Amino acid sequence: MATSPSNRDLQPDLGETINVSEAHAAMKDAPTAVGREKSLRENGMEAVSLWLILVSAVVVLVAGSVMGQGGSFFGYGELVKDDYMRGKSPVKEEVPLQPIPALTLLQKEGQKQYAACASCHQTSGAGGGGFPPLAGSEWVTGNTEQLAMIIHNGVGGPIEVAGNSYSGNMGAIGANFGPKELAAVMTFIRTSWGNNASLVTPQMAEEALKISKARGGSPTTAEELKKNHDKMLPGDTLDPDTLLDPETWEPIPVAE
Amino acid sequence: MAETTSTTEPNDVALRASIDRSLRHPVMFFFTSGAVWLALAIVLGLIASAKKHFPELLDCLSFVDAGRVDAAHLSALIYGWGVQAAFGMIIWLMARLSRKECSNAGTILAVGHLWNLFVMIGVLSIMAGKGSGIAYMEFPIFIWPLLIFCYLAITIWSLVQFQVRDAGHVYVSQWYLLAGLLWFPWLAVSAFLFVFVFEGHPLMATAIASWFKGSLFFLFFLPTALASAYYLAPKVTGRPVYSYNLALFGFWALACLGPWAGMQKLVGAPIPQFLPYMGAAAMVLILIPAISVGLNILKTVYGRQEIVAESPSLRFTSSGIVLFVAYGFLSFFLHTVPAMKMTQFSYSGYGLDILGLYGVFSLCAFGAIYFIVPRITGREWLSRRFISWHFFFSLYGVASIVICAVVGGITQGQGIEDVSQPFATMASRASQYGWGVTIAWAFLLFANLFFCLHLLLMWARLGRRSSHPTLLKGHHAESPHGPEGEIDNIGSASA
Amino acid sequence: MDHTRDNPLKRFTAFWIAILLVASFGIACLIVRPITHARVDSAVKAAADDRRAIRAQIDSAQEQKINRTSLDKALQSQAQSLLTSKPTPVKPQAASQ
Repeated sequence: MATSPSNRDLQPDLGETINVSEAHAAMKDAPTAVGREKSLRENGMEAVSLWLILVSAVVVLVAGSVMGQGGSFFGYGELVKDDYMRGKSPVKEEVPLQPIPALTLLQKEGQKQYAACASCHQTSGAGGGGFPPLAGSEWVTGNTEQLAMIIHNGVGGPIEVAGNSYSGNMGAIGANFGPKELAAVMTFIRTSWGNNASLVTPQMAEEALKISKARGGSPTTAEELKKNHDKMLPGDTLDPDTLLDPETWEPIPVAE
Repeated sequence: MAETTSTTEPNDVALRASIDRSLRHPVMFFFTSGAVWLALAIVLGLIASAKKHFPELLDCLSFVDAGRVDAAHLSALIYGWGVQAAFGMIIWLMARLSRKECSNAGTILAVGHLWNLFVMIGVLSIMAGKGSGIAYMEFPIFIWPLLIFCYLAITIWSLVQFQVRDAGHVYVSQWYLLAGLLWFPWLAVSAFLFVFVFEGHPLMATAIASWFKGSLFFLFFLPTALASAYYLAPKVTGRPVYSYNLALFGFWALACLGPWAGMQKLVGAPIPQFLPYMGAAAMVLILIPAISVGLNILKTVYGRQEIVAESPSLRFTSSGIVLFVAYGFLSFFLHTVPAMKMTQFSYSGYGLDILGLYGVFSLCAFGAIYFIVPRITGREWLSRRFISWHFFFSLYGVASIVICAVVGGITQGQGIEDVSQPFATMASRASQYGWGVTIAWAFLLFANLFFCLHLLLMWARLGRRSSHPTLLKGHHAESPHGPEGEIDNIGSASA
Repeated sequence: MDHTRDNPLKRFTAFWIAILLVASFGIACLIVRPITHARVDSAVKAAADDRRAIRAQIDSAQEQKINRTSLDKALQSQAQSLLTSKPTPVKPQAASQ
């Protein structure tokens, strides 16, 4: 061993030494971090353990089962798993919709449709400002066919309602009504604001639509209505308390 | 083979010293800036985790909205900390193993600053709301070509060093480093082109993005961590790696399985069904390389528990490898079909990702940092306590996150599957686990603040000048080297 | 020139081979892309065409059902009568219905 270098030369901090080769020489003996390091050897030749191979085999089996769930390998056409079916909902059977009395159901739907009429006839059915009232109107509470013609085709010219004469034009506001909507709005105005007339069923409304179609689409007049349409629409009357299915509007069969 | 420590050739010491000296600036820069990004990423992770169960937190600040802060957290963790720590490790390991000095330290350092700049722009863009919304590729589109360019400018020198290495056997770590160095650009270029550039079916872009997410860990972070572990375990203990054949097997198993992983996140999506199931099968099979590598490295250190207990680098590295085996098992169980059904839209996937990124990669990176930094700065670590706290809080933190996330995820899954209950029931069940995850992030923040502080002190050349390493066990009162920190006893050490 | 393994030529070639290798990843993507793209594009377009056909069917069916002319007439006549009628104050009514 050469004479031990002075402590200053053995400082691990190379930055303070000017002479690089001296520093390197000092490094060879100095137990700095770099000097402490051991060399790498990588020649361990232990055999691969059998347990590893067995565990790998189990893992490969499980992976294979996962892969098998994916359908055919590189099958780009299959976007959904084979025989995929949405599971049955574990929630118990939905409670079916409760049946509703006919009057309530028709009035509810009719009130919705009436929004189109309320701008002129008011939500109270009182009319005003040149528009005839519906409350207490004989056209409303009278025969259903003329009412249906008025709603579906409109009415023009002078018309007498509840003792007053009105001359204006009503458009065919209900031109796009189907049988259910027509029946509903007619029932609504016939049974609101003190009116107490019979219900109009969807079957009656269908007959009305047929009659209206056969007539053509032009607005009616009071004379025509009195002459041609002053009758009730054909169809079975409906008791206001009959329970209807809220979706189909058919009466619920009542057990005897 | 002889298991005694080899005598160190004097030339080796000089060579090692010159290599360390040549690349001290870029490597120290990468580690230090990575550590700062890690601290930032953990703060963001804390907020992100809190937002999942306590969304009113900081809701006045729009830049920490739940979606933004989560994306910013993962981006900072991966590109700010993960890739930079990987750069430091790769550059140093490849230089040491090729026995070549680094002649481009200046370039690497400059490009490293650029990398930091771009990541910062990216994270700020995410928090301003301009993120792309694609997991692990959140940065705005223009950042990616810049990052890929920086990656090449930083790592190409390591590839060149490998090519001009001294003739001789190629060590295990070098396989992993070379593979990782080439896999990353393949992943990044392919994912960037198919997700952002090419017009195509958006579902396939999603599939490729999730492939990138899975493969990034297996084909870049994991090989770097394993390269470091295969280097440090034999070096610190002085024993040879347990089995060369097992190392070979583990490497090729990872190489074959890694690229398939990733699409398992999309089970049930309207993409060709074999894709996510192949991904799930690959995740199940990852247990095989995990066990192989775990067996190999843990058997290497097996007889030397006292060294594992003492040496910070070996302790972190072996814990990282143990957690890698745990990762393999967790992945195995989480990717069987019933488990996937239960945990697909839950915390569990996040727990597995954090186990990989923090538990495996980061712990191995810490081990490498604790080994490398004394060598490139010429100083020893300042405080044994800082290192121990860093270790224990990291371990507690990552274990808590993973357990809370996985168990919480399964509970969430049960809640989601139970259609008779409203969603809120499941969410309130999961929030308890969310609190657990948030508290665990607080532990990790605590651990990494110490680490960051310690590393910054070392960077500022305030480390301990000593011949004696900072070890985790008590002082060796009767050591021939004398008590720790005593530099006047250098003479006696060279006996 | 130094003829050991480590010489400037070897470094130069190693550098450019690495660049080429990474570029080849991009080139491979660019090559693969048009080969598979055609199928993808037409698949997406075919699905879109189906969707558009269904949408056109629905639109025409709705057009047929809705009686635009009579609706227009009704609204017109209503508008006319509103225009010509004299606005009168509406007296507050008793509670309706």
